[in-house]
Amino acid sequence: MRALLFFVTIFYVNEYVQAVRQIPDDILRGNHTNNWAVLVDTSRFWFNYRHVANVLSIYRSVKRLGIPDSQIILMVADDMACNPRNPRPATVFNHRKQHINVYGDDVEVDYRGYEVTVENFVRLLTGRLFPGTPRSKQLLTDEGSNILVYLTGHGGDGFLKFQDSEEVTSQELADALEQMWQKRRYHEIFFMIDTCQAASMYEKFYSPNILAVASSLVGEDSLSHHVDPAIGVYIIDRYTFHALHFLERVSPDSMKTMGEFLAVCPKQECISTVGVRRDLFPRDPHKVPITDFFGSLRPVELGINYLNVSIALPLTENTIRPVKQEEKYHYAQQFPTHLFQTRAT
Amino acid sequence: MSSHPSTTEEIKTVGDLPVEKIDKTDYRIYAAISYFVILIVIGLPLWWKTTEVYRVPLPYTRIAALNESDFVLVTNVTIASLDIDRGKQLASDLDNFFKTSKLFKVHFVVTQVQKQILASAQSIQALELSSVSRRQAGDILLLEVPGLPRFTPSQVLVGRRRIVYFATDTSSVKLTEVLQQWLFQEETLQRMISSMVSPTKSELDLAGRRRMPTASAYDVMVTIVNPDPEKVQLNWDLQEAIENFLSPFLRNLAPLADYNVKSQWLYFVPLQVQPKLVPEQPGIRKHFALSEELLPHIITPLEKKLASHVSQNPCLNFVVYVPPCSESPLYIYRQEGVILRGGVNAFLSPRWGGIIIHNPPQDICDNTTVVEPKPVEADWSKIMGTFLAQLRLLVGVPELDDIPRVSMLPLAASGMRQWELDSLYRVRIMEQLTSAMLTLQSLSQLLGEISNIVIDDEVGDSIQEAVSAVERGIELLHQGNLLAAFEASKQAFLSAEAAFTDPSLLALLYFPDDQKYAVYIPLFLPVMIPVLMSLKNIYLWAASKVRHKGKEKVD
Repeated sequence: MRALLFFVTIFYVNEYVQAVRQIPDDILRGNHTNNWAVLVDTSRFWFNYRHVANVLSIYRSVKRLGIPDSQIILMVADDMACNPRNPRPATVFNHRKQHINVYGDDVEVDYRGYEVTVENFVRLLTGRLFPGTPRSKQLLTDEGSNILVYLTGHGGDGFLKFQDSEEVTSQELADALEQMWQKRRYHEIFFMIDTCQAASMYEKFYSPNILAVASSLVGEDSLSHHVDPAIGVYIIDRYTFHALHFLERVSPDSMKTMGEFLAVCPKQECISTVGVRRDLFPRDPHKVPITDFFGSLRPVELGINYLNVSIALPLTENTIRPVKQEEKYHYAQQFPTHLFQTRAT
Repeated sequence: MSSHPSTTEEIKTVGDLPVEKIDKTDYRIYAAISYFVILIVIGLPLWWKTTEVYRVPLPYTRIAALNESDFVLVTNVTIASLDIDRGKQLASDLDNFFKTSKLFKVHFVVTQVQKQILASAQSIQALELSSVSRRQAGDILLLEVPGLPRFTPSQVLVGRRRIVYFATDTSSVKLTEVLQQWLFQEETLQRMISSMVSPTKSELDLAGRRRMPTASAYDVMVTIVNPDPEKVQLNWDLQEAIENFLSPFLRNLAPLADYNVKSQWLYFVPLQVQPKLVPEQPGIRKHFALSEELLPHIITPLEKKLASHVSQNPCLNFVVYVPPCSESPLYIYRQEGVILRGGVNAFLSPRWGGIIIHNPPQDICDNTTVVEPKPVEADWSKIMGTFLAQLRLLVGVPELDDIPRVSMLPLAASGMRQWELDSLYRVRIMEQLTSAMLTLQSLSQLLGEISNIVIDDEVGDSIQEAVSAVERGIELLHQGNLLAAFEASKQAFLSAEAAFTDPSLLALLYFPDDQKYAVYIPLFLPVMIPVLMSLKNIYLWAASKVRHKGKEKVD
C-alpha cells in the first residue's frame, strides 16, 4: 500500500515537472540555416536491387527526420518497383522479412531512368542547369545550407560507374564540389558513399567543410548483406544496413552525434573497413549533432518586440477597391440564333 | 639527244654522293621537302586552327584588377550648429575618427542654422516635415537643437528622415557613436564582406544570419493555420489586413527587390509537438507551455504543408496558429522555464520567417453558451505588428544596441526610417558587388585554367557586362550616389550569376590532355616519323648544295 502510494506520488510529480531536455554544453548546433540532401543511385537493372533499396532507405530516414521533399534531390533509375520480375509490384523492401516498404506512396523521385547521368549530376551540383528546369530538379542551396550527399552503386579506384555506360572520376567530383564552394553553395557537406573501393572517391577533395565517410577503402570491396530468397537478389548492402540500424533509433530531437555515426559498422560486421576523411572538417564530429545533417531543425529566436502599427493607418475608405461582380450563370442557347441575327432594315 | 642528262654517262661526285644519286636525290629531296611543307608547315597550323575551341576573349586583367580596388562608400555629413566654431570643432573631431575607417569616406560640411527656425518649431515632427530635411540618399544632417530638452530627455535624437538632432552640450564622442553604430553600421558591413571573401576565417554576425540572401525577387507567404475548424471559426479578411499593414512597408522596399505577397489558409494541420499542461496556481491560470526546445520541431513538419517552394525566389513565411479552446492558452516558455514577456507569443527563424500563436480570448472559451464553432476575432494590430517587426529583421534592418541618452523617433506607418533604408542599400550594394567580384574571379580562374572550354558570345557578353557594372558601381560609390550604385551592383550581380550558371560551360566538348594524345598519336605518329627523319637528309642535301655552290665560286 505504501509502495503504491509512493509510486503514485512519483507519477504525479513527474507529470508536473517540465521535462525540458537540456542540450549538453559541448554539443553545439552549427550555424547552418537549412538542410538539403542529394541521394544518388548510380546503377540500374534488376540485379542491382540492393542499390535502390540502399538509397530509398536513406531517403526514408532523412524524410522521417524532417527534411522536406522540396529539399531532397533523389536520383534513382527507378526500374525496380514496376519491374516485371518484382513479385510484389510497386514495392521495394530492404529486408527479407519485408518490415518496411521503402518505396511507399509518397516517394518523390527527381531524376529517374535515363536522366541519371554524370552530366546531370555535375550540372545539379554546380548549378549550371538549363533554364526552364523545374524547381524540384534544382539544388537551391545558399551559404547556410548543410548538404548530405549519398552515393551508391558500383565503383572502382577513382571512379564511380553511372548506369553501366559512363563514369564519374574522383577528380571531377572534387572539382564540382570546389565550384560549389566558390559560389558559396554550401555551409557543410556530409559525403557518404557505399560502393566498392569507395574511399578513392573522397581522396581528391580539396574544398573546406566536408566530412566524408566511405564503406570501404581502396582495394577492398563493399559487400552486400543478405539475399531475399523470394526475389533471388541481394536486397541491401552491409554498410547501409548498419547505418540504417543506427538511424532507425534516431528521433528528430535526438542527442546522438556524428562521431557515433562514423563508428557504425565495425570491421567484423562490414568485412570491409569504413574509411573516414575528417581533415577538411573543422569541427570535432563527436560534438556535431546528427540532426545537423540528417534532420532539419531550423534555428529559432525569441524576444522580438512587435511594432505598434496602430498609428496613422491608411483608412480603407479612402482606397478605391474594385467591386467584385457576382458571377451570373445562365444556360447557353440551344440554337444560337443571336449569332445569325441581322439588323432589321 | 634526250633533254635530261643521261644518268650513266657523266659521273661526277660531290661529297659522298655519286651523280646518278644526286639527280634522283634532288627529286627525292624535293619530294621530302614538299611533304614537310604540306604536313608540317601548312598542315599543323591548319589542324590547330580547325580544332580550336571557340573562345571569346575575356578581360582577365580587368577582373584581376577588381581584387585590388577597394569599395569605399562616400557620404556627406552636414553639421548645422548655432555657433560656427563649435560646428568646425565637431567636424574636425568626427573627421579624426572617421579617417581610420576602411569602408567609409566621410566629407564633413559645416553650416550655421538660423535660430528662428528652431525656436518656432513646436515639435520635432514639425522640424522633420520642414524644408531643411531634404537630403540625398546616404547623406546625414546633424542639427543642433538648443531647445531639445523640452522635447526629449535624451541628448541625441535620431529622426525618421536623415537628420540627427543633438542638444548643445553633446560631446563629439556621443555623435561618433551614433554615426558609427546606428547610421553607418560599419561593423556589420565589414563582417559581411570578410565572411564572403574568407568564409573559413570569419562568420556572419547575428543580423547577417537573419538577413535573407540577396535576390532580385522574394515571396512573402502569409499562412493562417486552424487545426480544428469545427471548434474555432475565423472570419478574417486576410487580404485586407495585408493590404493595410504589409503593403505600405513592402512598397518602401520596391526599388530593392520585388516582393510577391501570397496568402493561404491551412485546416486540420496540428502542431506536431506536445505542449506541457501547467495546472492552475494562485495568480496563474491553467495554461499550456511550449518550451523553447520544441519550437524548431514545430517548423519542421509545418514546412511540408506550406507549399513555399513553388517558385525559385527565396520565401519568407509568416504563420499564425490559432489553437482550439481545449489547447489554449498556449504560451511560449524560454529555456530557463520563464514565460515569454511582452505579451507576444511569437518566434522567428532566421532566413525562414516567423510564427505567431494567437490564443482565442479566454472569455469566449469559458462561455459555454457560445456554440461551437466559436468565432474568434483577429487582433490585426498585434499580429501584423509582430509580422512587421519580424519582416524588418528578415529583410536586413538590424536591431540596434542601445546607446545611453540616445533615442530614436518611433516608426511611422511606412515602417521604415530613411536612414535604415540607406543602410539597407549599402549592405545590398556591398553584398552584390562582392559576390559579383568573387564570381568573376572564380570564373576567370576556371576558364583560364581549362583552356578547352567553349566560351560563347553569351557568356562573353555577360562577363563583359558584369565587369563594367562592377567598375561603374565602384565609381558611383565614390561619387556618393547610392541609388545608381545599387542599380549598377544589381546589374553586376545578375550578369555574373548568369555567366557562372550558363549551361554551356559544362559542354563536354573538351578532353583531358592524356586522352587527346591517346587519340592523335596512333594516327599521326607513323606518318610523321619518316617526315621528321627526312629532315636530316634535307639538311645534309642543302648543306652539300651550299658547299657545291661555294666550291664552284671559288673555282
